[in-house]
Formats: sequence, C-alpha cells, structure tokens
Amino acid sequence: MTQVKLRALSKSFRRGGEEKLVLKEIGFCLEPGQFLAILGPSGCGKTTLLNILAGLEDYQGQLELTPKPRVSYVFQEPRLLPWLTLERNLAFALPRPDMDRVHRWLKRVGLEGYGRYYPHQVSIGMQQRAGVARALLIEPSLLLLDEPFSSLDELTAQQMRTELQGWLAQSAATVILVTHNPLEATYLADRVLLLSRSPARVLDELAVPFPRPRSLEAPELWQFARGLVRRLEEGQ
Amino acid sequence: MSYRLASLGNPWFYRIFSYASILLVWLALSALLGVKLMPGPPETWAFLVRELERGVLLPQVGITLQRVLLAFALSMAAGLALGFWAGRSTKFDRLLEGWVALGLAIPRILPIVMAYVLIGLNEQAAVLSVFLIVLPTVIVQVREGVRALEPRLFQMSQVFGKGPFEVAFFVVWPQLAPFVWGTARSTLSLCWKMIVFAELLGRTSGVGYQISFYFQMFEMRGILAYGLAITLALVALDALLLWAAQRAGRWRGREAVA
Repeated sequence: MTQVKLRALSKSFRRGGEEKLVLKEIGFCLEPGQFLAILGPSGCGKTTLLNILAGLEDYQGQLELTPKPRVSYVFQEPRLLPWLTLERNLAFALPRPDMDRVHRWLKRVGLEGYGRYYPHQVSIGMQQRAGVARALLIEPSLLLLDEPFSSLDELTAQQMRTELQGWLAQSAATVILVTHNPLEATYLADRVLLLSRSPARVLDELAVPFPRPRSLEAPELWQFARGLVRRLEEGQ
Repeated sequence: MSYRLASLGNPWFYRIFSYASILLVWLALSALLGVKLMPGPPETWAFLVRELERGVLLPQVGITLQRVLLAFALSMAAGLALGFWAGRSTKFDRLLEGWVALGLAIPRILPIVMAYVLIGLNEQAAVLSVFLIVLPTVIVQVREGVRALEPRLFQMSQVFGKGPFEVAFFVVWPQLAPFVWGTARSTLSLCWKMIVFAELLGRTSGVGYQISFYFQMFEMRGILAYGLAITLALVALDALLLWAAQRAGRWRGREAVA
C-alpha cells in the first residue's frame, strides 16, 4: 500500500514556443489503501495528473509516493499488444512468466477459455476486462484508473464497476480513478477530488459518506453525485 | 454451371491465368516476330538447359546472386540503422534530408558509372554503387515505419517496468515488421536489377555480363535464357521473404469470436 502526497504540483506543456499551463498547484494527501476519484471536465488535465503519478511525465512541485510503489495502470482504451494473445498480454505485465496466475486472473475477470484469442477477436468489453486483469495481476500497491469504462456501453460499464469493487476488495492497493462521471466517482471512491477547467486547480475535496457495498439504487448516492455536479459548475 | 462459378471464385484461378497469360503473350510475340528475333519459351528453355549442361549457367547466376545478396545485406543493415535513427530524431532526419533527397533524385546509372571511374572496374565498385543507389529508399521506408510506432504502447510498457530488450522484441519489432519485410522485398528487387546493370556496364562475369555478351552476338536465346534464370532465382528468394512477412502478420487473419 502506498501513501500519495502532492504539494503545489504544476505541469505545463510547451507548444509552438508557448508555455501552456495544464495543472496549477494541485495538492492532496491519500492514505494507504484509500480510493480517490478525481472528477473534472473533459480536457482539464486529469489524465496528465495520472501520467505524472505513473512516472510518465515530468512536473514542477512535490510528489511523494511512500514506500516506493508498484504502479499499475488501466488506460482509457485497453492498450493491449494486438499481436499477443490475451494470456500473453497478461503475462507481459509480469516480471517473470507465471501462467497459473495469468489463468487465475483470466477466470476471475470472466475470460476463462479466451486466453488464446487475440484482442481483435474479442469484444471491446472483453479487451477492457483483460486490461483490468493485467493491471491487477501484478498486485499493485498503487492502481491508476483512467476512465476505464468510458469506451463501454453503459450496461457493460455498470457490470464492470460492480465487479471492480469485488476485485479491489481482494487487493490492498491505493487507488486513484480519473472520471468525468460523478455517479461512478460516488459509487466507487472513498474521497472525491474536484478539479476546475484547464488549467486545473483543486476546487474541493469531499469524503463519500456511504458504507460499502454500495448500491446504485440508493437515492442518497444520486443526490451526492448531483451535489458534485453542482459544486463543479459553481467552481468553473 | 456451378462448377464454372466455383472456378471463377477460386483465387488460384486468377493466379494461374495471370502466369499463363505471360506465356501466351510470349508465344504470340515469338510467332509474330519469328523464332530468330524473338525465341519462344521452348527455344529459350532449350538454350537454358544447354548452358546448364555446359556448366556455365549456375556459376554465373551464383556470382550475380552473391553480389545481389551482399548489396542487399549492406543496404538493409545500414538503412535499418539510419532509418530508425531518422524516425526517432528530427535533428538527425534533417541532417540526412539533403543526402536522401539527392539519393532518390539522382539517375540510377550515375553512381555506377562514377564508382567504376573512381574505384575501378571491380567488385567493390559494383556492390558499393548499388548499395548507394538502394540505401535512400530503405532509409525512407524504415523511417516512416518508425514514425508510425504507437507511443501509447511504449507508455504501457514503461508502466509495467519493461526493459529495452523486451520493448524491442514485443513492442517495436511487431510494429516495424511489416515495413521491414516490405522494404526487404522492394530492396531485393531493386538490388538485382541494379547489379545486373552494373555487371553489364563493367564486369566480366555474372548474368549481366552474359546478357551483354549475347547482345553482342545478337543471340536473343542467350539474353532471354540468362534473364529468365536470374528472374526465377529472385522470384524464389522473394517468395521466401513473402512467406516470412505473412508468418509475421498471421495474427491479423484470425476471425472474431466475441
């Protein structure tokens, strides 16, 4: 489990000789094992923030990950290697091949019997399941989820959100989810960080006050999500 | 009726028709111009067998193949390295830009003639000139392949802590392979045409020299027989490359199951 601390973290990109600020002095502290959802409008820099946490981008400011995390990432799109079968895609994430573990995870995400198929042979939902399995089978201490269900139809997305809760219950990872879906944030997270439009700054940070397991039928979840939308609109 | 339709739907029908039409045109030309001026397939084949029995054909084809493969290997090795670097570095690409533009635009006979004048009528000049002719094409094709590499897959590999060898083997090579095999086929084709030309201009052995010799004798059977021999050898090599290319991309052909 990893503790995540950000202090005055900023990020700018240089485009055509101009410096464009994307993230402005972002700060938060996430305790080990907590689930944080980052909510903000499209294009505000949420993915950039995740890329920084994954070590894919440089930044200004302070970022502390203690102890040194084993990071895993579920991308917006499955990002599988098209020339490898699903089981070999999962094995690719491991430092050493462990096909027993690969098959266990394929079964856990409902892909038993599909291990020898290539990504293009299965549906996008199944590819995304494989992407989630790949991220979880390395037993991460910090799991980053970048709108993992946005490319799926709502029915499949909801099924996967429910299943994700179950998979995460068996994991000790600290989780950061980027989303623009307030209900998804309310359903999955312990805390929600609200970001403004670009350059993104923190508008608010709220604890989600509902015990688990949560139900999407519960009216208080919808009410909380509507509150998040209102807070986002006020802050823009 | 159904048998006829089944034949027309079979891709082999069109392939066989394509090759058969070449023979038919050849036969027609031979009949039209006369066997002396334009020998047909039977006369050419008989000449080819005669050269084989004399023990001349195979050594001459072998010499040409040796030169072709040497020029091919050199231009692929250098072209892959330079093309890869040019695809990754804009500065290096710009540095190379003038040379590549010159190499692509220059008349292909010029490097051969210049090499013979500057280095002499020898093996090195023949192979080096063909290497220089082919190299810019390889660089451009490999560079485009490298530019088309998917950066998001590199990010994914980085997140999962993959080292340079795993990235090269599992991420870079499968994406580059179609470009490399395609380039290898076109490079081989260009190499052999240029080597035969270089032999014709300034060597005393090889298929190009034999063609030049029979041209001076005005012996069309010899010209066609040696042309046919090297063409068949290179078609076989090309088929080998094509097989390797298809093998590398066989995952694409699998049908969807869900």
